[in-house]
Amino acid sequence: MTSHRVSSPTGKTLNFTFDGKAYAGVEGDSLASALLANGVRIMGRSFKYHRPRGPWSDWVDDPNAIMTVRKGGVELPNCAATTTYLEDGMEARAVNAWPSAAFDIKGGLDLLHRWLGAGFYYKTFIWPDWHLFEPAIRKMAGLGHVTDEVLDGYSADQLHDRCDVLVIGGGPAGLSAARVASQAGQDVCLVEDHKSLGGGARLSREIEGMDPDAWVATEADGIVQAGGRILTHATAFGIYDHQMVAIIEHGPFGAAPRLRRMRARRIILASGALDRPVTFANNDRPGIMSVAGACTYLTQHDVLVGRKIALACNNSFADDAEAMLTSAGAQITPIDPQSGPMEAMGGKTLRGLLQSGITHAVDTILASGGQTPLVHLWRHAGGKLDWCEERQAFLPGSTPINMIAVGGARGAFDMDHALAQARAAGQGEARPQGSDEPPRYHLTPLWPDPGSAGRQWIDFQHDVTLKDIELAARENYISVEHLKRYTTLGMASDQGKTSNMAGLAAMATLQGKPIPEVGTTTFRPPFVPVPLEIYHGHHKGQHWNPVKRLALEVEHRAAGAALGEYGGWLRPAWYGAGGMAARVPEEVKAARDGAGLFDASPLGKIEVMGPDAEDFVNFIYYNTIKTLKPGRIRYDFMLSEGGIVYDDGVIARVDEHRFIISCSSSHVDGVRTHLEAWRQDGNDPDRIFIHDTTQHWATLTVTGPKARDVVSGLALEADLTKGALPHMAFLEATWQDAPLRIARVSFSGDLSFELSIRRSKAQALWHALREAGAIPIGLEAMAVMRAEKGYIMIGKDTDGETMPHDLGFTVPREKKTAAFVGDRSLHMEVANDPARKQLVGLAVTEGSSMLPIGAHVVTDDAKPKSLGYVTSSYESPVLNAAIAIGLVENGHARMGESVTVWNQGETREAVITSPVFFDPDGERLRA
Amino acid sequence: MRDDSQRWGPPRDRAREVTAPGITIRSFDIARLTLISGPAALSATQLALVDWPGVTEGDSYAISLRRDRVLEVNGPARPDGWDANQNLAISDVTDAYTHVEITGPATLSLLNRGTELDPDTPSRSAARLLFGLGVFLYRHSNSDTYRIHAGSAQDEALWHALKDAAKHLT
Amino acid sequence: MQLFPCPFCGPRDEREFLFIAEAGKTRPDTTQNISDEDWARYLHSIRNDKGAVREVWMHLTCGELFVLERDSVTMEVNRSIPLRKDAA
Repeated sequence: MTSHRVSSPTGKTLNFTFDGKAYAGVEGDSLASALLANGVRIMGRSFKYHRPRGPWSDWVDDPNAIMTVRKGGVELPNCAATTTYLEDGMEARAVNAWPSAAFDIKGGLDLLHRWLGAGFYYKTFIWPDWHLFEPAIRKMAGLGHVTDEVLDGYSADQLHDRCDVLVIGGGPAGLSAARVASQAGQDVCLVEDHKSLGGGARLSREIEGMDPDAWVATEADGIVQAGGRILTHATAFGIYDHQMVAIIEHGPFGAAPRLRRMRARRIILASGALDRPVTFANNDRPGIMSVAGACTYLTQHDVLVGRKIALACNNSFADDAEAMLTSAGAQITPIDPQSGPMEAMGGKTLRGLLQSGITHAVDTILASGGQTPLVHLWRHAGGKLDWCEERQAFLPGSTPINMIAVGGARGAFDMDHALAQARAAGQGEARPQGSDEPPRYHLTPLWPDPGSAGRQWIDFQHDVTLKDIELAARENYISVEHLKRYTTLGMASDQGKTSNMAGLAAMATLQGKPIPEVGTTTFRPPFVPVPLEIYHGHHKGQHWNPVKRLALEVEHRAAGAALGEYGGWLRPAWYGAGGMAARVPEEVKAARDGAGLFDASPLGKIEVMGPDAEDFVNFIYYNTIKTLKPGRIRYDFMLSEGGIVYDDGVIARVDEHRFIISCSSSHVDGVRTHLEAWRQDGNDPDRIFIHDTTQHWATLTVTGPKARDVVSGLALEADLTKGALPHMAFLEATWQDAPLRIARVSFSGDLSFELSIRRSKAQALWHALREAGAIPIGLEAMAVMRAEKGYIMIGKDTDGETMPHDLGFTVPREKKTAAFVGDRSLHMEVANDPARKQLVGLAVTEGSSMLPIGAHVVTDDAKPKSLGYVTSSYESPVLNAAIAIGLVENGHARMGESVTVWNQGETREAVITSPVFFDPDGERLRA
Repeated sequence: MRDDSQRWGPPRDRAREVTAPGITIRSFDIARLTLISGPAALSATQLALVDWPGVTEGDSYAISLRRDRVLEVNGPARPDGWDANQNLAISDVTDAYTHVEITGPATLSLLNRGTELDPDTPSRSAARLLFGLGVFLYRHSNSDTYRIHAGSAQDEALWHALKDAAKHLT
Repeated sequence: MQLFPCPFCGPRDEREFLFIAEAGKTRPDTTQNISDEDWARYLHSIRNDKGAVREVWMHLTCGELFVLERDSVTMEVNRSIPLRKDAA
């Protein structure tokens, strides 16, 4: 028997290979149907025992035929042969099998099955240490391998979409619901995961008096004519909040799929139902297939899967199947699965079915234990399930908002009932019944029989047998969620579509409980495996976390800047060749001797204006702001209500009703949000307004003893003398017809002028300041200079417990009378704890190297205990010494104390000092 | 600190346009942008107010941002600060934003790659997130031409997001 | 992905919103004496109800602060209530 096609294929011939051997299929084939047509049944090996596996079904519920597929330089692992459409030139290999699925050398593992039951790994490899075994076991585990190749242009399109009615499933119910809804004027989108529409229509001889293909075409045409959309080869794989449905759209093999995020006003779920397997001895053998699968291979692909077929079916669909297969030339032996235990005979090749002492010589067994509605998406959306005794299935119960299930997904297995129900749903009925007639579909309950003989498979891919369920029950893993994790039942790539019902029914029997009391495991997206690329999309490279870019980036690059990410901005770390270690000390010295030029543009510039601005800023900040005069600047802390320092910054008062808050560069969004929240909650928002103008401005800081000379080079009409513009004062000038703010604020500890100008003037100002003698310095040099001065960086030199008095700022806590954010927290017990960590300097003996950042100050006990840690540490090029600052318990009272500093097993000595190592009297600062 | 200069390309040439099936993306300049807030800011501007999905036109108009805030585009010169007579807070923010115009029948489809955007769902504010970036988005001249203002420092991020999304238009 | 209704802007993607606090808490007047217990309750006591909740959210793109009534189990949004009125 060379071909299993019942007619000569008319479609285009497609050549492909499987496990190195050449085959031909036709256009429209899946890999599985093409192989079945060629008489190939063994398409894979099971995960644990490496048992030979052939397809159980024809679509997403198949757990067996998993392949790595290569075509045109693209290799994708874990392709289901049943859902991968055949293309010319495909090279497919079975996963978990070598050299081929038919002759897998690990097939011998099956002989060890007695010792490899559920929990084998947990019990065996716990002693002496799992980690000894882990590498070898990991190597054996898993299905398929990801190659190191990067696929050029493999980038998923992600888009948002919307519709009035989303119909999921292009079978008879979905098509008729979509047609009615679109003809009623609704904006309808129908999603079908096959390339062609029809679904269960293929299993019918006729629908409403028409040939099924003609009926499907008529319905589809009706949808499109009424303005509806139809997406094929697209799977709705998850339903998220507020009717957001994730749809994956497939293209040709190797093309990145598209993620369509569809927002639907209403969802009609018409996802149909699946045959569930029958549990009997050796029921995993290749050649044992679902009844619907075999019928689909016949009607869709003209493939007759066997010639002598045993039909082991407990439900009324058996009659149609028998007629269909008989007319295609098969010889059918109907088997009543209830009349006695069954056992499949044969190994790689099926030889027969043994029941009640009689061996039926068949080459194929088709099985169905009843219909299981596909309710996964229903559960994603929060819908409940009700157990239907009559159908022996969980059916959609109480309805999630704006969603309804129709047809097979709702247990309407008779065509006329399904269509009536679907059309009522399409009209907008909330709970369409469809028909008062009793269903013609009927079955005899058929579930696994615990204790019966033979190896009976529950989960085909993961090799979970009925005995494993029995073992789990004996060991008290009786909750379905425990059962699942202990046995790995339902954790294979099909996520239990074939195995879950049998597994939980077996557990119900073992416990003597009804099935609904045992319940189901949680259904979670995705309904089918999807490549991670669809979540990835454009979020890659520079879009993963795009940095903010400076107005002067071109100038910085021209000056040889090494750029790095600081608080969300791409900023110069240092300038010039030679690396950070060589350049940073040079830049520090240049600034300390002359004038450094530092791009401080990311500093926040948030304006607070209005009649209540003064009270508001006074309430938000720790220091008293009411006393701040126009033209003056104050350093201050923003606290959380817990009293913890959230941000530090300077506040400039422009006039009675206007303040400019200059917060940390990385905190602008957070500070703005904090201000907005307090403005509208507890204050009068009509009397306070907050404008974040940060990105309008570029800020250049000129710092160093020659800073005044440099700024004077701009020839401003402004008095820059110490008397007119002292430290912590500012003025507004004009330069080249643009407003120029000059602030005497210093982060370096040296004489500094912070010049802010509109972004479009930044280049001109940069060049003018350089011509006047300023030397560019990067952030790393500034970080050294501020540490020399004992100035903190929030989040580096403070942590989630730091309060302002820990930093030496005690006055407002004791004296400020007006309410401010966090005030009461500064007087809680924890705030008064004498063991609070306080900011100190840590000096090392002359000539010794710098302390490691993160090193702990420890007690001298036999078991040292941490008293705090080093937060910043540098080699100071101007002091010619290593300097460090840190947070140490009760540090302010320990000045001069010698302490032990521990780092990774090594200890050093340090002396607790003031954190101010440079210019302690502030003469240079106030110059 | 690591030198990441090579990980991020130098700033783009703003004069260069991007075309894809159904769209053209270009940058444009604006002479003046004025941020105005106040209890009655929406009625304080003399300019035509645009929100979503309205279509504005001409050089001068005002963008509705929130209950008490508008952004005047090429409006009258106003001094910065608190205007106690009119109860308005005023800031010149001309350089705070970068401006992109997208035109063509596929524009809405392009923008739906970056946000859930629906002309049938009106909004009184033009402010929204697009590709994760805070922007002002509205239509100008006709229903197929969209203007986007994003933070100046996010010009590169916006441009590359639009350019990459445009690759998916067919 | 949820849609939240901003009282000013209308329905928007949840990513545009920031949770601020449960509704109904009033900041104690910190110029008066407040016991440690009362202050701790204000800081840390959170109901975190299952089911119907009232919360304060901020719509980040327009800055509006409002009360959102929703169901923390079904994710159903009932309504949003502005804290402010439009200027006359």
